[in-house]
Amino acid sequence: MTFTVIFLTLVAQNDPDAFADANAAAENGDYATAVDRYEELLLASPQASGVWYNLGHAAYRAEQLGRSIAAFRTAAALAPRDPRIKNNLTLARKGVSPPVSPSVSNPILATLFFWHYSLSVGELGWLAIGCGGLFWTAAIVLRNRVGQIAGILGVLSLVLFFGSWTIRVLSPASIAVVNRDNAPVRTRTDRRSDVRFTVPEGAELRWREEVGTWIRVSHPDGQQGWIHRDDVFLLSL
Amino acid sequence: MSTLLLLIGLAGIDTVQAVLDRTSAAVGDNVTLTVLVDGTQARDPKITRVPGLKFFGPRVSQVRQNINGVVTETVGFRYTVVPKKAGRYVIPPIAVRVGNKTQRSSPLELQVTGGESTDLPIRPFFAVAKIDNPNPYRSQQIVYSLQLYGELLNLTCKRFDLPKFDKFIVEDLGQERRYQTVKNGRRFSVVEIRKSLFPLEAGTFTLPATELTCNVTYPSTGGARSSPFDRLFSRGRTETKILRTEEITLQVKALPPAPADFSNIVGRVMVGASMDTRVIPAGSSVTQTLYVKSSGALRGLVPPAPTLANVKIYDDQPKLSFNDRGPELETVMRMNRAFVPTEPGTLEVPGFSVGYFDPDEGAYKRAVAPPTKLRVTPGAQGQDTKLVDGQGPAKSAPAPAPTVVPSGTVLAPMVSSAHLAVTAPPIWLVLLVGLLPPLLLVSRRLRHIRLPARSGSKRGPLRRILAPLEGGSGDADVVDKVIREVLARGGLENAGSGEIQSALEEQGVPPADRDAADRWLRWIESSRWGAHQGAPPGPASELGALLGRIDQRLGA
Repeated sequence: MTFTVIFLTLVAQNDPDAFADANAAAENGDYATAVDRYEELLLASPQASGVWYNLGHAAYRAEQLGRSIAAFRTAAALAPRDPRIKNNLTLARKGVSPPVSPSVSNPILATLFFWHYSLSVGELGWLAIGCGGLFWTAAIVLRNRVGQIAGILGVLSLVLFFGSWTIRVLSPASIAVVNRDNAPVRTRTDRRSDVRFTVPEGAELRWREEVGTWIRVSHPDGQQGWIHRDDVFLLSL
Repeated sequence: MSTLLLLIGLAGIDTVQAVLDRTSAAVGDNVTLTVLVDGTQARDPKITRVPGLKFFGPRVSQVRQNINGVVTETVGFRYTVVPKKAGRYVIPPIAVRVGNKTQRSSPLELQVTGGESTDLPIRPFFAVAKIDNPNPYRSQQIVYSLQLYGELLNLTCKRFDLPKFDKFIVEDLGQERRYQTVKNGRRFSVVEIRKSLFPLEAGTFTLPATELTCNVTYPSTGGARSSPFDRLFSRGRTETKILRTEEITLQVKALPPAPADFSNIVGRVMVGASMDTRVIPAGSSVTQTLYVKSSGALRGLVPPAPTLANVKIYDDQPKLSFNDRGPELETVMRMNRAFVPTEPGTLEVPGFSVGYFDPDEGAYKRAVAPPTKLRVTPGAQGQDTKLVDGQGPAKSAPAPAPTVVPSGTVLAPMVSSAHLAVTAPPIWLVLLVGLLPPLLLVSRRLRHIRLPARSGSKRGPLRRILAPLEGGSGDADVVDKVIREVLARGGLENAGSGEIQSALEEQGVPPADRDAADRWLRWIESSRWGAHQGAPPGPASELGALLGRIDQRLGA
């Protein structure tokens, strides 16, 4: 199954009863049912980080490592500083065998543009709105030197946050999480073509392009090839 | 050979000629079979399969010769023939289709003697397989090397299969190595592939021979003395060779009866343990890093977890790394273990030991990492946690200090809230707020930038605009109209007094003129909206001069 996270949709309200039912199924050890129910909920509200988190938890318990890592990564994108998500994602990644280290951001860029890497799209959007509000307040109410400085700061901050928000929305990170063990990555978009390398369940690959039912992916070690769409969860974070 | 070609050319009898470069060879030698066909219409020769002989090729070349006015064109097909067994072989006539006819050569004979024909160091290329210890203990590392030697030639082995090491654990030992060495006074280039083998059982084992199919490229000799055959194939001769290594027999010794703490490691062992801190508050975690370095196999080694009162212990997964750059494979196992003491006091974190067999001394030994003492101070209540463990406090009991465990060790519990963070705002709202202020700023800036352009279009004779003032009119409406018309030439017709002041300042109008303009504007305002129309700030001529200067600045 393939699911794609789209951040541009408005948030739909969760059905609290359905969420509680899914949680109850998980607490009773029926993780497969819980996974199905969380996924149904996410169709209506794809930005519900708590649902993604619980989906990752239930999938991990159900020994669906790829689904679990995909869900935790999505939850981490929505709530990037939540320690529980980080913890569980780290734990799930330890189950990938042989280990495939996911790609990490350039540390220099991550330090210079810390807000871009440490804030979610939602947070960036709200900050852009806040800075816009500061600008308007300064422009309308404070018509003096202080207002001028506040307005300039508001506009500068707005440019930073709005720029980051725009980049994240228009050019999201494309991740393909492998959902079965020893999934073959081939040289061409053909099941009869040579297998260039295989990847374990849970491996996080960079998703480069999509041609029909085939996805061109690149391994963190630089190798590239084509993997069938059925073998991966595609994420746009 | 040139005589042969001459005969072919003149007589025109045999249009297909097959020649072996020798009539006797040893098993594994490379014999060259050349098929020459007159004319350019020849297709590939059909060579009948001969059991015991292997044919590689052909390489095809063409040559045109003019001998005493007779021009001949010849196509040459060169094959490498490798005898696999000793015996006397007859290569049947080779058929070649030339135009519409099939021509055949004469049969050829080849006598093959048994065994390798030459001593290895005498040959310009050869392959050797060897192990560094033919008498190891079970589980002791031995290094298998496959070496290809080539002298003054380029040796490329595209196809070879290493033996199947059925009773061994096999690990790669580094990348393919290339170096040069001197044997019997001759310099060889060597390509070496190494594997680390760990015997799984005691007993006698034979590692089968490896057969390699290699291309050998000899440097081109050329020169006037070369024969027509050499000229035919003169671009650095390449031949296909089959190389074989010898079988290797090794005797794997059994280990003596093992002590209880033997961890199945045979080889040299070093162990160590380190703590990331020596003083911690109760309820916090301290990480102990254990490592084992050995020339033996470490897969499956997990240091046993100690039992300590009032301490929670969390083991991380052991991680293996390999150092394959040395003469033998070195394996390093690292494991993190978190200790969370719950009571203050002094805590002795035990080290650990690994029982192993030292093959050099033929005895069992123990490598020991010493224990470490920790001072546990009273913990602060409510300190930050990296993770909650899902065990809520009993309602009647006082809440314990939150447990801190290393991140990624235990699965954090599920949550009951569907949203753990802010949800994204509507996109239209972000776009509205994000784009509007910069656009506004830009448009305002553009307005200033456009001033000269706009003023240019409205510029006309100033004298006509100032004409109403020439009569010395002190009427506020007249003055206002004139001032507005002048300001309109700078795009400021609708600006407030503050904006006009700013614009005049930006355009470099001197302060005195700005003040004068301000006085006139205030007078107009008070005259139009105030209770009294006071006297104008100055004579109309002065206003005319002032507006003239301002107009000059606005138009600059």
